[in-house]
Amino acid sequence: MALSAKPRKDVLPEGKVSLPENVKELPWVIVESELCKGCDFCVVTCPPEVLEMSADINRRGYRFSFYKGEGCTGCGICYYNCPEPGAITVYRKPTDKKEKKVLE
Amino acid sequence: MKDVLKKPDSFFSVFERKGGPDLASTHYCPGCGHGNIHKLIAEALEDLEIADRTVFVSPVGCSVFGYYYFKTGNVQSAHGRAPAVATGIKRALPHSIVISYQGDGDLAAIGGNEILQAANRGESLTVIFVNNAIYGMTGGQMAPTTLIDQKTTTTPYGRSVENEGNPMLVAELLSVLKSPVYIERCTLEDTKNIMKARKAIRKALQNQIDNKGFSLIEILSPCPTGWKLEPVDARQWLIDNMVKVFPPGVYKNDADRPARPIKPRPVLTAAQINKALGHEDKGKSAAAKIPPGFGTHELICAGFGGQGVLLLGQLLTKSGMYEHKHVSWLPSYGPEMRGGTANCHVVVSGHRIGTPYVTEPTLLVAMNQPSLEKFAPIVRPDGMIVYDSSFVRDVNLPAGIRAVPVPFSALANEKLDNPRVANIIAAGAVIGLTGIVQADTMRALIRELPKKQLIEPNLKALDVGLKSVEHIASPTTV
Repeated sequence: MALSAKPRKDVLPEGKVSLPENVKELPWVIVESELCKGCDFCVVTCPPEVLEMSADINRRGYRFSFYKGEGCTGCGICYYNCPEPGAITVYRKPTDKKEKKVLE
Repeated sequence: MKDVLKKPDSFFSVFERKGGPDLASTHYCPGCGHGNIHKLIAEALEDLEIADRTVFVSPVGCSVFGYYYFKTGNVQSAHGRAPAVATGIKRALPHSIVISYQGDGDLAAIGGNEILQAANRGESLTVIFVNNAIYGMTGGQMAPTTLIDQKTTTTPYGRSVENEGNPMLVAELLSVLKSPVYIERCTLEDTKNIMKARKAIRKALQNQIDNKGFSLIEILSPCPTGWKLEPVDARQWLIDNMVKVFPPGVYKNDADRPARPIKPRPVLTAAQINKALGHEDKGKSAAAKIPPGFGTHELICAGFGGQGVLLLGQLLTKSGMYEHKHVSWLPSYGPEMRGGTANCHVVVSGHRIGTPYVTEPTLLVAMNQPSLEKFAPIVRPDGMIVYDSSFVRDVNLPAGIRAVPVPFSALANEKLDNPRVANIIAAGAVIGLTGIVQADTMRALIRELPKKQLIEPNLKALDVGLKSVEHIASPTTV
């Protein structure tokens, strides 16, 4: 599950949100592998199909989903489908109104 | 549009109340709808900026641990009683936002009448009703909302109309009432419907912010474990079966009605309350009657069930009350009714009492060996232990603590020929040693006991107790 090594492009307004180091570009989605319970909801609902279920298991014995590192549109569908409060964080392009339909 | 979709701040960042090694994730099973609904509520609380005045009432069911997660006020109520508890909170704190979060076993079965009455009164509450057609927490039994032919552990051949009746249609049922303002049924079957549920929850909370009245959102939610399905298949089962029986939609929307007026609550003084209760204080004010310098006595009275340790504590507490001191009495029943130790916490103080729970007693009254062993280690270093030396054989007390052995039971048998008054002898000893109340006050109290034939023996027992410690000087005797 290597993350893509593209250069990071901070497009968020200055000081508004500090992005974690592993966010390589926007939009980007992070799945906390230790919080994921492997229900598969995010994988099956992701419109561009950029999430995948791991072959490994986490410490609690669940397979976990991860972002392939390319193609996230920031729509937020995985976030609202995920039942685990802290498992998925979606970093979106704030100014891009031309994005495909995004959830509020 | 939000720049970042993350865990809402109205959740605790770490679920410390959960305990155990994993404090970051919920206790819910993979694919459980509770997590989605929790997220939607938490996000709404954050966005509407009401988390700091919200009280989340958890039910009995899988969501019983709501207080692990929500950074709001939290009350966990008895099975099915969340609407009644929520009503009390809302009426006492009319400006709070009260969420009654209930499952189908809680709301539609044991709490059926509670929800009906709360809805009919039009209480300004937000009820989130999670319907998964099964009892999840207890292992998949039939719920009122279980579908016809659905197999559960208690309907192994499937639910039948003849035997168990039809699934309970809560949204429909409540929508015929006049009082509710907003009733909608949503489902968690797919993204579109999750977003509808999100909107409905917000609307229900907004109704409460505007004080419009009762809102209920029924949410059809997957229970993969109870249904014995993979999470994704559970959602499909929800679409194929549940949605047909429980059609989603807005069942009632009367949000244009005017807001309910919030009546100003009268603020009563202590004197007004006493007058209303017929406890009018004729003499000086109560506070003036407490002897100056009277500190705080925190007692644990413990013994076998049946030895009268609870009555002992009650008499000391009531005596203190009659002397206008601040008092509290906290009995511990529970499984200890059968053997083991029964105990009560007693606080008699010259100051207002913060908690009736005694963690570091100034005085331990131990009527048997197990009580002594259990509570002696928590007695304050400058505290005292009085114990029934007729029962206690091995004494291994913490160093430095003053211990007074008195053979309460032996005295009761020898001097009064009545083993049942050992507790009153102990009361006498406590009064003699600490002076937390006056012996005369307790005498008056004993004379008020309902069983007249016990008055004389008890009065004698009190004197025996006072005499038993006469030879021991006590600096705190009043």
